[in-house]
Formats: sequence, C-alpha cells, structure tokens
Amino acid sequence: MKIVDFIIPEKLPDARAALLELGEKGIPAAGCTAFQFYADGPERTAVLLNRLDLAGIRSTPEAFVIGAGTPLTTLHRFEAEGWALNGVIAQIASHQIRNISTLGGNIARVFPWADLPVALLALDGKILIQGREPRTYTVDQYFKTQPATLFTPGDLLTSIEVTPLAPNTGFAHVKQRMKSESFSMATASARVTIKDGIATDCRAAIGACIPFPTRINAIEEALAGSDPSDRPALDQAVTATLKPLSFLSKEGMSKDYIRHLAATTLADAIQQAAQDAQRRLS
Amino acid sequence: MKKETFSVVNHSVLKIDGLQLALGRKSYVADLKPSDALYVKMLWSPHAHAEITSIDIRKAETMPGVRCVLCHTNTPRNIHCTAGQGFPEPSPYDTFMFDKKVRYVGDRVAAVAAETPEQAEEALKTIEVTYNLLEPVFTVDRALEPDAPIIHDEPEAHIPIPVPYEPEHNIVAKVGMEAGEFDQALAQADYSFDYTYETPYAQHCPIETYISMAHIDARGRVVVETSTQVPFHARRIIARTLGIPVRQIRVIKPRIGGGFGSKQEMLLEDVVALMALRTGRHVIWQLTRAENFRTGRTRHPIRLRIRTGVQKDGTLSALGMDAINNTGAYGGHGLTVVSCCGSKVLPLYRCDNIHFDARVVYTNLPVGGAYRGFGATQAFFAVETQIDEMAEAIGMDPLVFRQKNHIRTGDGSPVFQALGEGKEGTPMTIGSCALDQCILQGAAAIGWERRTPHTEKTGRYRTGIGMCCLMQGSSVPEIDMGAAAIKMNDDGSFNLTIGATDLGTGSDTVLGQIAAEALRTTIDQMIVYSSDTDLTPFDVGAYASSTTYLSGEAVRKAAVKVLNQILGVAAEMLEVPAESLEARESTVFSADGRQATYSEICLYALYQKNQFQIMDSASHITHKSPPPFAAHFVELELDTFTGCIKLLQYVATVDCGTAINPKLAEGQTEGGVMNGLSYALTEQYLFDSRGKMTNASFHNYHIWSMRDKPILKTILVPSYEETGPFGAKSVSEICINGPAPAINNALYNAAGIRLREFPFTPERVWNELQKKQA
Amino acid sequence: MNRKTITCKINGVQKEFLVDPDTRLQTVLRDQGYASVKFGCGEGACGACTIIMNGEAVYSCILYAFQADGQEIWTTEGVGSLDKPHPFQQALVEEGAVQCGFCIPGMIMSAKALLDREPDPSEEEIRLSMDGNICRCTGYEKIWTALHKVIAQGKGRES
Repeated sequence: MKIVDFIIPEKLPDARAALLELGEKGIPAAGCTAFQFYADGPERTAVLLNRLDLAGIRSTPEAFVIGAGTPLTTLHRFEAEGWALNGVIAQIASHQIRNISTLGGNIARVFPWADLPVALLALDGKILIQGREPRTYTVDQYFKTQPATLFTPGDLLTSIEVTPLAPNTGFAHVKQRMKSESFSMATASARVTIKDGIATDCRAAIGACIPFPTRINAIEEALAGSDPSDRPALDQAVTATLKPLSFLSKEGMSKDYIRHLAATTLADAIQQAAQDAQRRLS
Repeated sequence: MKKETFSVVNHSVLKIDGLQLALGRKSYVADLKPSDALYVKMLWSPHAHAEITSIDIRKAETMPGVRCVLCHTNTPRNIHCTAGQGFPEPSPYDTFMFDKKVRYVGDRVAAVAAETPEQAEEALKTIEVTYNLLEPVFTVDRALEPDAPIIHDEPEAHIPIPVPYEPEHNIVAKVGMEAGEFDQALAQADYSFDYTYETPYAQHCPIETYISMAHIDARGRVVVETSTQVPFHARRIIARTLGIPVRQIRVIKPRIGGGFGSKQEMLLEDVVALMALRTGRHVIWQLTRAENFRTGRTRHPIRLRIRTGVQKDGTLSALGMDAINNTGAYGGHGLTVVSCCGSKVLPLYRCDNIHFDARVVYTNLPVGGAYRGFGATQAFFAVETQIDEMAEAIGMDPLVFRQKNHIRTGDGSPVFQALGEGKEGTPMTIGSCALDQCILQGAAAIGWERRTPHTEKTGRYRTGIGMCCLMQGSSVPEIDMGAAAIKMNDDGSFNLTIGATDLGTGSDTVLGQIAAEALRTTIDQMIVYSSDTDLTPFDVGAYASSTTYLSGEAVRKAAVKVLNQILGVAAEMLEVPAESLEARESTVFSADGRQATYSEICLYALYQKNQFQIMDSASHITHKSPPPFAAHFVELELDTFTGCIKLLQYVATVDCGTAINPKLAEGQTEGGVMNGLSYALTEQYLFDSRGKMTNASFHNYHIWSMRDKPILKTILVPSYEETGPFGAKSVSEICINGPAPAINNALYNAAGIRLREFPFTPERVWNELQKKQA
Repeated sequence: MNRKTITCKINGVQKEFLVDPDTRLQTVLRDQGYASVKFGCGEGACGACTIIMNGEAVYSCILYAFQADGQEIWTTEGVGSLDKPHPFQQALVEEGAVQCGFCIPGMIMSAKALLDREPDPSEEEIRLSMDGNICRCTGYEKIWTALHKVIAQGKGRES
C-alpha cells in the first residue's frame, strides 16, 4: 500500500464523509503500524483518526466499552475488577508498537497471527461500527470471515465491548513465540467458569497456527461438566477437537508439529483459565 | 600469575567515545552525509544460478534523477576476493564487481545512483535483464557430485596461494592433518563414537547495516568513508577491483555500528568509489535490513563428523574431525574458517591421535564470511557435545572428564604446528592458562553440585545443567601486523594513531590505556584516533581476536620509545643522565628530587633547544596465538510437552590474561554469550525452493531483547600472558562458542536427549523427546 | 504527490515541514539533522530510531511524518549534552554499556519515557518498556545495570 495523500479530520462525521467520498481509495489510519505489511498494495489516501476522540475505556455495569482508537498500552495499564486484557497486551509486539497500535487496528484487518481477535472470541466481545446507522456485531459474527468485508465506505469501527469476568470465571491467553516480541506460532485464549471444580461454561479460541482465528466450539462442549485439571483427558479432548482443522507451518516447523503445539497451547489456556477462576473464587 | 601494579590498565576507565555516542552526536557514516549526496540502489539477482544473456540499462540512464548506472557491461572486470584478509589472501579470487553470471539470490546485477532513493528504485525497475537459468546447487552433497553444475566456471578464478582449488568440482579448498595413529587408536578404544553434526546459517546483525560513502577530494582522489573492520585491506581491494592505484584512494573508518566479522569484507566500497569517480559527487549506499540478510555475509554452515575414542579410565585416545564447509556462492574465508574448526578446537584436550580433514564447497546459497568465533563456534558445538557424551558413557562427571583432559600451561599440540591460515601453522606451547580455575569458579556459580542425572527427573517441566569448555586464539601469528604512532603535544597530551579498527569493541580505549600505562600518564591525556589510511599507520584490522594482543603490543612498544625520548629531553633539561630519571604521573623526576612535567618537556623540545617533535612508531607481529580459555555453564527448564526451552541462568567464565579494561571485557563476554544464545535457540535462515531467504527481517529472524535476557553472570579469571601487552590476550570471540554446546549438554541432563543440529527449535527438541520415548 | 505542511514541536522547538504523504518520520528527522535517530531496520523491529511522541516511546521508522502533525517530539539531541548528560546517559558511560553505541539513543528514549512516567518501575515494567530495543553488542547486562543505577539513585525523572 502506498500512501499518496492524507487527511486529518477533527470530527467523526468529517472522517466518515471523507472515507465515504474516497471509497476504495481511502484507508482509515490510526497507528499505521501494520501498513508496512501491505507494502506492495495499491495507492490510498490515509484518513487519520487520532483526533476523533475514539480513545479511552469506559466501565459500565455490563461491560467495558473500549474506544477503537485506544492504544494497546492504555489497555495494558488499565486496572479494574474483571478486566482481563492486561496479560494479552503484554504478549503483543514491543512497547513502541503497543504505544501506537490501537485496538481497532488490531481487529479491523485480521492477520493470521492476530492476538486480540483470539482473546475477544474467548471473551465474547461486541463490535460497534458507525455507518449510515450504528451497527453492533458479536465477535462470533465479526470474525466469521475477514472483517474488512463488513465495512462499506464511510464505516468506522468505533468501539469494542467486553463483559467483565464474573467472580467464578477465569481467563487465560497463551501465545507461543520464538522470543517475547515475535509473531505467534500458536495462540489460544480461554474463558472458563468453574463451579465445585467442574467447568460449567467455556469459550475457547485459537489463532496464528491456522489461517484464520476461530472459536473451538467442540472443546467448549467437550469440557462442559468435566474437571479441567484432568490433563490427560483434556489433552485427549483437545487433540480430537482440533483434528478437522488444517494447520500452518511456522518458523520453519512442520504443520504436524504446529498442530501438536496448538493442542498443547489450547489445553494450557483452558487449564490456566480454570486456575484463574479458582483463584478469583478464593 | 605475575603480580604487577597497574595505574591505567586493568582499570575500567570510561570508554572514550561513550558519551559522544550516548548523546547521539554525529559519529557514523550516515551522519556524515551531505544533503546533496547521491543514493545507490542495487538490482539483485532473483535467481540462485543463472547467466545474464542480455541487460539493457539505457532506459534507466534517462530516468529522472539518475546520475550513474553500473552493470557488467560498463565496469572493470578485475577478479578479486572481497574477504578482508592479509595479502596474498588465503581465499579464492572468484568475484567481479559485476559479472555475466549470478550465483545466489542476492548477487549483484546492476546499480543505480540517483538524487533520491526513490528515483534510484524507480530506475531499477526499468532495467531489462534476460537470464538463462542454470540448475542451482543448494546442498554440499549435490555440489560434490560428479555431474553437479559448476558454479565458478569463469577462467579467471584462481587462488593466489599454493593450496588446492578445484572450481571445476565446486571445491574451494581442502585441508587436513594427522597426528599419531588415529584409525588404530579409534579401533582400540574402549568406547568409540561417530556422530555427524550440522550447524546452521546465521548472521551477525550489527544494528548498523553495511554502509559506505565516497566522494572525490580537491586533488581528485577518491575518499571512502565506510563502516569497515579492515580499512587498509579495503583500500587494497578497492584499488584492485577498480584498477586504480592505492595512492588514489583514502579510506576513513568513522564510528562503526557493530560488525562481528561481517564488515571484514569489501562489499559496498567499490560501487560507491566508482560512482563517485564517474559523477564527481558524494555517493552513499546503505543496505536495507532485508538486503543485509540476503546479500551480506553469514556464518558458514558446516557439517562435522566427529569420531572419538575413550578409554575406561577417561583417557581421550582418538579425536577426529571431518568437516564440509558450505561457503555459499563465493569462497572468501572458506578455507580459514574451516581451518579454525581444527586449529581452535582440537588442541583443547590432550590427545595423541588426531585426524582432521576438511573441504570447502561452493553452493548457490548466501555467502559465508568471517563471524565472531570463526569456525570454532561451529566445531565446539560438535566436539563439546561429544565430549559430554563420552564422559557419560564411562560414568564420569563431564566436568571431571574435562578437568582430566584439558590442555594446560606448558603443553603443546601437533595441531598448532599443522594448521595455519592457508599454510602450516606455528608451533606453540601454552603459556597462560587458567582453565582449571574457570571450571571451578563457573561450577560454583551455577551450583553444579545440584546437578542430578536425567533418569531421576519426571514431570512436564525438567531442569538441566550443562557445561562446556572453550578456547580461541589471539591474532594470526607470523602473518598479521599492527602498527601504532604516538606524537606528543605541548600540554603533555599524546596523539595515538592506530590502524586498528574500533568497531564498537572499545579498542580505542583499550589501546589508549596501554599507551597511557607505558607512558606513565593518564587516559585523559590520550587522544586516540583510528582509522584512516592517510593518517594512521597500517593495521590488518579488527579480526582474529587480535587488536588487544597484537595492536596493543605495537602501541606499548611505540609508547616505550616515546617515553625514552621524553626521558632524553628531561635529562637534557635537568642535566642528569637519562638512566637516573623516573617517570610517573606525567612528570619526570630526578634522583635529587627535581622534576619536569610532560608539558614542560614537550614545550622544551618544540621551542627551546635541539628542537624536535617527540614522536615515534612501532610495528608488531606475533609468534604465537595464545588462546584465551573459558568454561560456560547453563541451567534451563525444558517443557517436555512442547520442546520449548526456558533459560534459567548462564555463567560464563573467561581467562583473557590481564583484562585491560575489565568492564569492557565483561561486555564482550556478555554480548557474545547473548548472540550465542539466540544462535543456539532462535536464529535461522529459512529458504524457499528457489534459494531465497524468506525471513530476512527482524520480525522473523529472532535476536533477543532485554526482556528475553536470562540471568547472566560473567567471571573474569585472571592469568598473565607473558607475550601480550601487560599480560593480556584476547576476549572478544571465545564467548560466542559456548551457548550451543552448553545448552545441548543441559538438554541431555534434563531429559536424556542430544541434538546433532541446531537451532534447538521446539520441534527439533520435541522430535528427540518422541524418539526417546519410542 | 500531495506535499503538505505539518507542524510539530521537536525538543521544545516549534517546527514546520513540507512532507510527502508516504515519507516516514525518521526520514524527516534525519534530514533535519537529528542524527541520534538511527536507521537499523526500517520495519519497527530494532528500536534504533526510537523517539518520544506525546510522552510515549515510538518507532519513528514506521510512523508516517503526517502522524506527527501537531504532536510533541523528543529525540536524544534534546535529552542531554556534553556538559550535562542525562543521568541515564551518564550511567551508561560509567557502566561500560556503550559498545558500538548505535542502539543507545533508542535505548535512552525508551528508558526516558519509562522513567518520566514512573521513576521507580518494577522489574516487569522495565522489561516490558525495553523490549523493543535490540542491541547486538552488550547482551544488555550493562544497560540493565545502568538503568537500575539511575533508579536506585532516584534520578529517574531528572533531565
């Protein structure tokens, strides 16, 4: 992608109007950290969103409402009961990237390795888009396909909602990478609700190791009513549920190994989420 | 160890360029660029092996902003070697500035100089090239087959020294030696071992990529400011490549943003120099990070077959190494790197029966070069893995086995005599050696006594402790020369000029300390300048662990001569014999209590009587290459479910003789270890089916940050090397050799697995775990 | 190309530049003589070009110049001088943490952004705040020691 012009609107309607007018030739721009990965793409006019007041986190009783322009660092520093994203952000890229990259940018276009899509799939988030009419998608709807297809010219991703973790619910995000700032080889997120040592509810997702981040519904069903601390049973269930998926080769390692790594990572995420739930209970 | 009281050396004086660099002041090549410089961009070969059947640059020459286009049709065809080594080089002349043939993905095709980098890029797109694709050679096995394509079929290819060179068989060099009765000893050993190891491609990754700038001075000479470790070799090779006299060229090395061997090479200078000559303009060329990976120099991948025999009592009875060195598309450093596999590794353990046989082979892959450790790194992985294995086989603690067998003061080795740099080596007995102390202090620091056998370990996460011993050399004896000049100033300060090349190591500071010590002055009185082929004396440059030991002794000798001149003038001033005078703290004292300060002495010499400039120079060659020694220890935690390794702590001891600047010596060790750790665990060259590196980016080629740093402890173990300046020997290279073998041995201690190939990726480790379980 | 003017404050001085839309901030800064902003990778991975923008460390090599419009920027040139280096610069020199020195200005900007915000950071905060700066010379030990020295001396917030 080559940036051939830029516009810095001061108000949301101005930004939407500019994007509407530019159509295919426009591109919403915030941190722009990912633009380099589209080096050979077409010519675009950047519409910079930084002055639109899209950054910040608001707590309501039902949800954390996160502005799409919120830098990842802000998500990392945020503290609140039931807030689960600190650990996710700490595993993304380097601090200079986290300081400029935004939540919206991380999920508006999905890279195979993406971090927050995996976490949001497990956390059951909601995505708010301002178009002609405001629209809300569940993450399941939003990440069913490449989300870019959901946007028409003039649309803007404005905020993301995440439900706080309930006291008996835990969350974990495990990212396998060659060093701390590297892209993922396999990422797994899990949110597990525990009652009397038994998992009553689970949402789990994986990414990076497969072409597109996805929820693993089969493991959620398999886990319901079972004891997540039974590792052999968990491993068996995870391996079986991942069987239909095709895996990618990563870092010169074979697809078969990445499949194994993904299975272990998913089992780890589920187990750590269950432990997190236990810890939050006590 | 000799007890000597030093006032400047063996002290951690502040690095003399530290503050200037910490302030970000203009210091490096890119910082010196005038605003009207032309920018160079290169068209690189997309093919691993092809003939250029036609090339048309006419359109490019007329593109906006373009001032010069170079390709094989309009440049001198002078065969040369890009490796910055002594003359004649122990490497083949197999390179042209531009050739009709390309031999790896990233070989030069054509270059453009334009007013902006973007204009140069645009012009490159208009160059029309047609290629006749040839079968590429991607493995040493294929290269050695009788029907393999010949990579260097140009008639000019030759090696300028009398050693075997068979380009028609893709063979760059052969070298070998025998001592005792190896085959017999191996057959008669109580236990014998025969394993083959593979070491990977890797790159130095200095944070400053290759960069050179040239301009024409008022007299019409070409001035090249360049990020090089070898300014004098660079001048010689530029002259040969362009076919112009050495006197027409001045090479200046400003501050360098790291080299580690990669800049022991003439890679960019010829192009900017020729473009400056053709345009009369400043011309600058800096490689992008991707170009640096694909077209810069790399660590040679080497296959090592190690055959060893051991007796039940722990006697090492046979030690054999067969090496095949993949030098890539060009042969620079190929022979010397593989020679060092033998010469810097085989002598570490006493053994009567030694076999060494090595071949160096061309392929159509990235080009090997000098890289910190230089062959020893590759060979120590194999040998130190197998040493560990032998100890375990006879039921001996691997630490004790090493204590029993390692070389010590007074020992020689037939290897020293047999293996040199493109010729026979130099006989040598070991002077200083504190390896015994290195082992003891390192073992205590890591807690070796906590080490339990892998058979007692269970569970998902298992810890392991491993170690290795190491040696290197200090300079190339009877070949390399360093020189220094010292000139005294009115205020009692001194200009020290050296050809020795500080590429970030701190050698300007270290050499300044040596001069200050010998001159009986302080470091703040030294104005150190390196390196400039017009202004500083010759030095081979920064390589072969030579600067402190070799150039340092030249500096010390020059300082002693200058001190004698100072004493002579003082004797005249104070009217006493020079022999009765003593110098300390920048002042000369007579026996009767009178004194003359250095400033007074210099002012007298410059202005008062029998005037002359107090100055002198000295040169030095070495007659031996005293090894530094080291013992490295690592403790790790292995995730047996995934094969992922977590480092818990690393201990690096080193005997570098007298540490001239202890903090800088520690810094060398810490940096080398960290580089070795990522080399062992996360750095790799991944190629597509056409021989193109696919991960040429810091996003995908993994060198670590502070966040990844394990606990790292460095212990300097002093010794005194009689032949070195104030007891010093080298420190810079040895440290990188330890991590791969130490980690491999710790993996065995954790889970009973031994790998024969690295980086130890999670998959490789996990596969070994699966094999062991089966 | 649609060249446009941007304004920003660099090291406390108001500046105005005419930039191409695809020009990176690093290119502008280097062309303007801020030589401390080093080119090491151009892909937001090595940290040699780190600057502080609005109080946070960022990579200038992957920022477009237009992203700096209206912002406040600091480079190492604005942090210390030969007469009065920043305490971290002083500590780096004293600890022998400057080898080739090419990564050091970037390290300084990352550390300064951290210390300005939190003069007594936790070990975890330090590691996370320094994870985007690669050094190939030092193994980080001496840089780590220098940083801890400044923190221990309580000089983190001095400039």
